[in-house]
Amino acid sequence: MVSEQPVDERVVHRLWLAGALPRERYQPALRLARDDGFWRRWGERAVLALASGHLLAGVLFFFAFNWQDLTPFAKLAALQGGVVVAALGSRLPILPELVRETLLIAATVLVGVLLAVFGQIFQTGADAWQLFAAWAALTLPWVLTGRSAGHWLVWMVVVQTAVLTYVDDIRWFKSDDGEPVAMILIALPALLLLIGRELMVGRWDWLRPGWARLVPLAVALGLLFFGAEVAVVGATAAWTMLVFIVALAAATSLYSQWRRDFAAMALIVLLGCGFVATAAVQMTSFHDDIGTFLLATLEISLIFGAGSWVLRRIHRSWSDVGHD
Amino acid sequence: MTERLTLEDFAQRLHLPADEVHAALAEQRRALPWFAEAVAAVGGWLAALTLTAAFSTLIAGAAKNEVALGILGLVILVAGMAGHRRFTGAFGHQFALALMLAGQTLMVVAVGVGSESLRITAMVTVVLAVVLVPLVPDRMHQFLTVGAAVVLPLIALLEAKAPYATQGLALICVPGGVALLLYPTRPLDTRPAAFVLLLAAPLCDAIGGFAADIGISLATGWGGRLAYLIGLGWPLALLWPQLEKPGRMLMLGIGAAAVTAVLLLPAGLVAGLLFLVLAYTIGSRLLAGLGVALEVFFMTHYYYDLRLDLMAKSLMLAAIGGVLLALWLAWRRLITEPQP
Repeated sequence: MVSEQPVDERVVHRLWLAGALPRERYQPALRLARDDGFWRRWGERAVLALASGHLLAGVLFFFAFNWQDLTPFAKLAALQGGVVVAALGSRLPILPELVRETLLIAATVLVGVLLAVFGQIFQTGADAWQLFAAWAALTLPWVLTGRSAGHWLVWMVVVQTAVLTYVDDIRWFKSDDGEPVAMILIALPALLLLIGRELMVGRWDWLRPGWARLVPLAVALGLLFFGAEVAVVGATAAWTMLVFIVALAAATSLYSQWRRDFAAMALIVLLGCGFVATAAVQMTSFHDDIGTFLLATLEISLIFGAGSWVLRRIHRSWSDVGHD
Repeated sequence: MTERLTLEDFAQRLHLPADEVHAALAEQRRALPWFAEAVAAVGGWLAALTLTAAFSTLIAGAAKNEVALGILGLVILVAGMAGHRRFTGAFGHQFALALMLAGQTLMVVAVGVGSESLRITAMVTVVLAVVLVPLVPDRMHQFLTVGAAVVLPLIALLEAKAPYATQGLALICVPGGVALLLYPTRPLDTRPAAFVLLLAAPLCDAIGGFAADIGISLATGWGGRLAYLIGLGWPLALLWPQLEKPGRMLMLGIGAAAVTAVLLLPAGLVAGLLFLVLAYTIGSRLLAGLGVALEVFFMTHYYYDLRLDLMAKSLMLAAIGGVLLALWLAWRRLITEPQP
């Protein structure tokens, strides 16, 4: 409903440009559109965030200055104390939910720092992937009970780093055949997280924010895309192209039919067009530079023009009926 | 949670005809979201670049001189402008935009190669901006064209070792950007130019910070300080009449803190502060985001840059944190708590 549209400074600016707002009413219109309550809260929080950021950085710098002189016991005690304080703080009902969520995420991050310092002091000689894997395993209970999409994303990064450092250790993954497989393996945690999110979003409201879908989708499809691109350019491991196409088709049917999401569809169209355009340019390139450039222009125009047309059609039809 | 103002209430309270207001926003409601435009932009820009590469290769093979390159640039620019007026779809629009920018770049490169003078090349970018910005109603085009018209003259001034001239440029950029933001023009929307003018000084400081030997800075001298004093004072003066007594007391505190900041802090941090004050004044979340990003970037850089040990930095951070905490308490006492 048009009349329900909220007014902000962008709307005021558009009205001004369209000539619907006289010059003398521009400043009063800006004042009227400005959500005073929001900006009062924003100002207060911005000052508090800057203050706590400075104080926290001061504490960190203090420890960094004295780090070399601390005994191994003191170092581990300081970090473990941090983990305990953050984890217990996240359970205090008097604190706002956002603060509690942040404290539990901080506890998860501190566990990683603790493991790294432990490895440094006792020279465990472990591979990097083992540290990240242990970090992910130890913090999984907090992630499961934390009820926070942000926490899940932080954990996903830890798991993906574990996989990344694992494939980095194995020589085969650096070969022409191994590189696309590595991309798929690194994409797996994000893919699994995305599937979990889509299965549970109806039951758990905290999974509802759009970014909780888009971030794992972009990471998973992006990595599969690069795996397929490596196969196209290097003319190896053609099956990885098939994996990418199947993933793209599945995502298309999911986000165009069952869980309509225009931002997800835009991402899918972008990656699909990119893949088809690379394949087309690769297949039709020849030694004549001018001919190759002209043909590439034509191919890119056709492919992205079609993609853009598809997006406009989807936008128009979904605008009429409304979507998620 | 504050009740948000609807378009209907807004039109009524400003005595604007509701149908005119709805008609003015109709086109915007039909527009694609930015991420869908971005898909078209990727394709459009790639296609324009490959086309420009094809013509450049052709010209380079036929005639190896800068006049031919300049003429090719002009032809591509005119073709892009024609396409920009003609194409209505997102892809065609982006393709034409990329063609225009490619044409402009070729023209500037041709002048640069032909004249071998940075000053003449910089003047050409300014002339191109003055001529093309009113002719091409496109915000991205304006942002990039004005950006080039600010950056190249700045580099030319630095090359000429003219510190007073760069201070003068700061005096144009900062208050100019604030003025364009607070008092926008029409029918030509000059907001992109305002953003360029406001970002010019902090970007120079950021680049200068990474490459200290270049010594780029628009705002460290007296001209820069004065520019920021004007820039900060202007929105605060606009807010003053709207405030009650407690708000005015806090404003005086903020004003004193702002003057101290301008005199003592590095220019990048003051630039971040200016963005935050502007965001608060006009209610722009984009400016608020940019202000926070600038503050975080320059804060990190500032403490890294100082030739101090970690303990001294720790004490400085804690002291500033304490002052900010006091400001937060004052904010709560004077602004938040008296509100029902």
